[in-house]
Amino acid sequence: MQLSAPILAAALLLAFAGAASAQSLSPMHNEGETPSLVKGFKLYVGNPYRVRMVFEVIPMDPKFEVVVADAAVNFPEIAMAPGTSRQVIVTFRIDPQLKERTIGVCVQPKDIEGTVMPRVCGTYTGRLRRAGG
Amino acid sequence: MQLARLAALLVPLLALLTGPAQACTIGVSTAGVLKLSNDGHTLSSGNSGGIASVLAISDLDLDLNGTTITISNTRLDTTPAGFAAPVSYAATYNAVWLLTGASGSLVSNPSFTVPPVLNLVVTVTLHNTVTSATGFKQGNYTTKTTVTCS
Amino acid sequence: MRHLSGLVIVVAAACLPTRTAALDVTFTGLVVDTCTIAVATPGVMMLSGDGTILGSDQTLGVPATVTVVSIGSNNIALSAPTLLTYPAGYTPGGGTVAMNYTGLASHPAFSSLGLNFDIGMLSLSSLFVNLKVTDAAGFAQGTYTAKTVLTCS
Repeated sequence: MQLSAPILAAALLLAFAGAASAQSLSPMHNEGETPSLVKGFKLYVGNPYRVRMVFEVIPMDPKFEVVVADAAVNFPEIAMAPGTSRQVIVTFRIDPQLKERTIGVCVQPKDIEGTVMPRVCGTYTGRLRRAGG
Repeated sequence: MQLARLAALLVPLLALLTGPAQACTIGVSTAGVLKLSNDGHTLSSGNSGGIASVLAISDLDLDLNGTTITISNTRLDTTPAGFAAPVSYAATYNAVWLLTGASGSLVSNPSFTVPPVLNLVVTVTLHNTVTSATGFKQGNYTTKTTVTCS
Repeated sequence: MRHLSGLVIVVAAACLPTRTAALDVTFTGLVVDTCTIAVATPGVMMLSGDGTILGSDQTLGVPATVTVVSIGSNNIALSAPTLLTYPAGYTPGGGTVAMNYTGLASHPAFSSLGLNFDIGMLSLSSLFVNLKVTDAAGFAQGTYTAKTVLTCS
C-alpha cells in the first residue's frame, strides 16, 4: 500500500485542459462524391490535453471494430503540442460495383495509462459520381 | 380648359407613379453566414467566423414623410431533419445613409425612417441569432428576416 | 403653366397611397458534430482485503475520470472490459472483468458487457468509470492492466 501514493500522484498529473477551442476529431460525419474510384476527406484532429500527445488515426469499419484495408491516412501517427489541431487526410477506395462506401476513422492516444482508452470516431461516406448523365 | 389640361397632366403622371414600381429596392450585397458558438448554444452571424448580411436599399419613394424601414419576423427557415428544439431569435441592424444613421434590434427600435432624398441609398448591416438551450443538431440551417419599406 | 404643373406634381405625390416592399433576407449556417474526450485521471486498481477483487472501487483505488464536451448528438460506448496484461504466475479465465460508471451518465451496477448511451450537447462534463477483476482464486503478485475502450461517435 506504500506504493500507492506515488502511483496516485503520477496519475493525477495528467490533467485536462479546457476544451473551448480543441476538438478531438472534426467533422465527425461527412459525405461526398468522387469522380474517380478513390474518395478523400480532410479531418482535423485536436489535442485537448495539457501535455504533448501522440495520437493514432486509424481507418476502420463503420462500427469501429476492425481496421480496414483499402483505406489510408496520410499521417497515421501524429505528435501534437497541447491545445493544437492538425489536418489529416483519409482516403479510401470504392468498389465500382457497390458505388458507395462508408468507413470509420478513429483517433486515440498512442500510449495511455489507466483503465480507459478514449477514442473519438467518425463515419465518412463516399459515392461514385455517375459519368455523363 | 385649364381643368382638362390639368387632367391630361395628372392621368399619365398617376399612371407612371402607380405602375409596377416598388416602394424601394432592396439588394443583398453580402449574404449572411451563421456560425455556432463554442458552447454550442447560439447560431449567429455575430459569432467568430460569422458574416453579417449587408443590404443596399435604394429607389425609395419620394414621400414627404420619408420611408420607414422595418426589420421583423426573424425565424428559422430550414433545419436538419428531426431538429425540434425550442429556440429564440434575435436580430440587430446598423443603418447608414448620407452622414447619419440608425441602429436597433427586433425588440428595441425595429424601424427607422429615412428622408425623401433623390437617389438615396441606405446601407444596412443586419445580424441574425438563434439561441437553443439544448443545442443544435448537425446539419444545415437557414434563417430569414423580413425587411420592409413603407 | 409651369408653376401649375409643378404644383400638380407635388399634390399628386402627396395624395398617392404609400406602397410597401418587403424582402426576406436569408442567412445560412452549418453545424458540425464534435466530441472531445480526454482521460483526466487514469484509473488505478487496488487489491481488496480478502485478495479476490482487484478494482478501482477498492480502498485506495481510483476510478478513471473521462471529460467530455459534445456538440450536436453523439453516442458514448464503453466496450466490454478485458484483462489485458497479467503477471506470469496468474492464470486468467477464472475471473470476471466488469465496469460501472457514474457522472454525466449513470450505470452503477457492474457489467461485464459493453454499455453505451447517447449524449446531446454537453459542456465540459465528467464520467467516472470503475473497473474491477474478480477472481475467487486470488491474484499472483505483479502488474495487471484491465481496460475498456470508450468511443465517442
